[in-house]
Amino acid sequence: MLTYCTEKKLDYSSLTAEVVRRKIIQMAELTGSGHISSGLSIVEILIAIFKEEKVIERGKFILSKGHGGIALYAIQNLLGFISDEEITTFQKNYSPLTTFPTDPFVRGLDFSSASLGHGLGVASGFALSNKLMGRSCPIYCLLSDGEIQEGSIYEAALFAGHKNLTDLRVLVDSNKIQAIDRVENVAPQNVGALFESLGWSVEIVDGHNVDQIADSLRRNTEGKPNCIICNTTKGKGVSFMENSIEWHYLGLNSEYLDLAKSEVGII
Amino acid sequence: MKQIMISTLEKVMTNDESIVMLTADLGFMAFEGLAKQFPSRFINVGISEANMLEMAAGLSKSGHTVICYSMIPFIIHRVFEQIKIHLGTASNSIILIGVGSGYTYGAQGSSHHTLEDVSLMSSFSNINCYAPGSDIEMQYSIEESVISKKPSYIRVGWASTHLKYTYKCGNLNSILRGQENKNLIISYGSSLGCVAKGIENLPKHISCDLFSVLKFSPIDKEKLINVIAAYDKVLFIEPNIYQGSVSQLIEASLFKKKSKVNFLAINYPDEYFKFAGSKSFFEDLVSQSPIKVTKMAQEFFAGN
Repeated sequence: MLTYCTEKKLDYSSLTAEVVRRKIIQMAELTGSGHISSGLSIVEILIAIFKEEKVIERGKFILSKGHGGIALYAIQNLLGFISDEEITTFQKNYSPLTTFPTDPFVRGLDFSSASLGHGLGVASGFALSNKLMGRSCPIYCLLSDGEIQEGSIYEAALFAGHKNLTDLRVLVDSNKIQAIDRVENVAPQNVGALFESLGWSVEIVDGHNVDQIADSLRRNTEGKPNCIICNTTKGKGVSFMENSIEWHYLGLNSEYLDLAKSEVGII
Repeated sequence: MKQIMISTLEKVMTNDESIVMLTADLGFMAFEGLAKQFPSRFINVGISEANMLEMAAGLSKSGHTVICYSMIPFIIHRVFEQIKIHLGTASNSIILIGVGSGYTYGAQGSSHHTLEDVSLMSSFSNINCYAPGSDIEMQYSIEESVISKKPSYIRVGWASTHLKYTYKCGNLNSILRGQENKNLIISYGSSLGCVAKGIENLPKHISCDLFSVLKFSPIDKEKLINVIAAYDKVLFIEPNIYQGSVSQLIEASLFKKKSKVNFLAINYPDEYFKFAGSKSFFEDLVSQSPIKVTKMAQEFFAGN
């Protein structure tokens, strides 16, 4: 279970894509710094994991693409694990809410790192432990498509496929953009074919459709670990950020802030 | 030393069922018995050291103590970021056993020479680092690491299988103690055996004590400085380059304290050799063979 699991009854009612995106833009307004669009692209994926799959109560979650941290914090805030007061400290001096959630300093994380390529191996360790101890719980690991260029992802995927670590549910945020270019211009690869060749069950879904993601997380993978490629739009919900390379890093200045706020429904 | 490592691992894995051992496809003629005895807890993860350390983190967070095994260039240098994140920052219960310190695998070429891993690993204040130079130190290192549940690194050189001296093993060890000596040699790990042999060959009119720094980081600096303060001349023979080494740390402390101890450090040269050679060949080349130790000690301690 997630380390911040408490006896408190969780209220998922506020966990909708619209509300999470509003929260993200509110947080971005406070800081003026970037990595907003990486969070906007994974909103529905996180809702599927946290609300539909109820990871806090029954599994583990690894945010391997730590640059999506703003979305995770938004969800933690909406679920009451980060207070409204604390969320305003995001990225500020002495705040535990660093841009990229860092293990072990942010509560409620089984693991996260902005050093890409670590999460799948750690997730495999959790799944291997389950197997050794004769227990089972879903281990969700969210990767970015650019992150799969890291060699350690191949190492982990190879091991997990070979050992049939069926507790693993890997979700790939396939927004087709990495830090300074499009994936297709840098190092394109057929992620589905790669994982399939390593013994995984692969499905491609609309990464902005919570039901599709949740259904895919629950499908019968016939004894193989589950890899779900989620087709997403980077910056989803804010027109000028959508599918834009530069908005990977840019922060919201006054010129764009009002437009972003109005587009996500902040009056 | 290899045998005592295997038997100690067998012992700790028998006593503690939470221990999982991972190897990155190394341990030929060493771990066949462990693999048979612990088929689910001894796992060859393949030639994938990054994944080995990442999985170790996941296992550790699930309640296991994880022992990872490989050669030093692959378990330290190749995966330094994994070490930083999963042992340094997260302090997981992971024990790295790296073999082939210094010129242990001299003939294999410079990719297998490890001259600076002491400097690298000493930069983490929370990782307990050991360099056993004898069987008893090897056993102590493994058992201490397991008991502590802290991130640990055991640097193995396979050297000095048996020191003939008996001593009570700890983090800092007085191995050979004469009477009223004013000369001291400090060493550790793969150099310790050569140093002990070198001391045996000293002429009778030159005597010295021998001290082993088994746990080289975090080091008990004050204790070591106090040990040194009782001597006139101290020779530190260290299987690592000078930058970031234990001897550099000690020399800086002595300087700060305005100590009058005559201190000389002999470290590995800060360069990689472009040719093959046996362990003993390279040790002689870098003035750490028993003959060179005798000669150096004789010259340095002369006059006392």
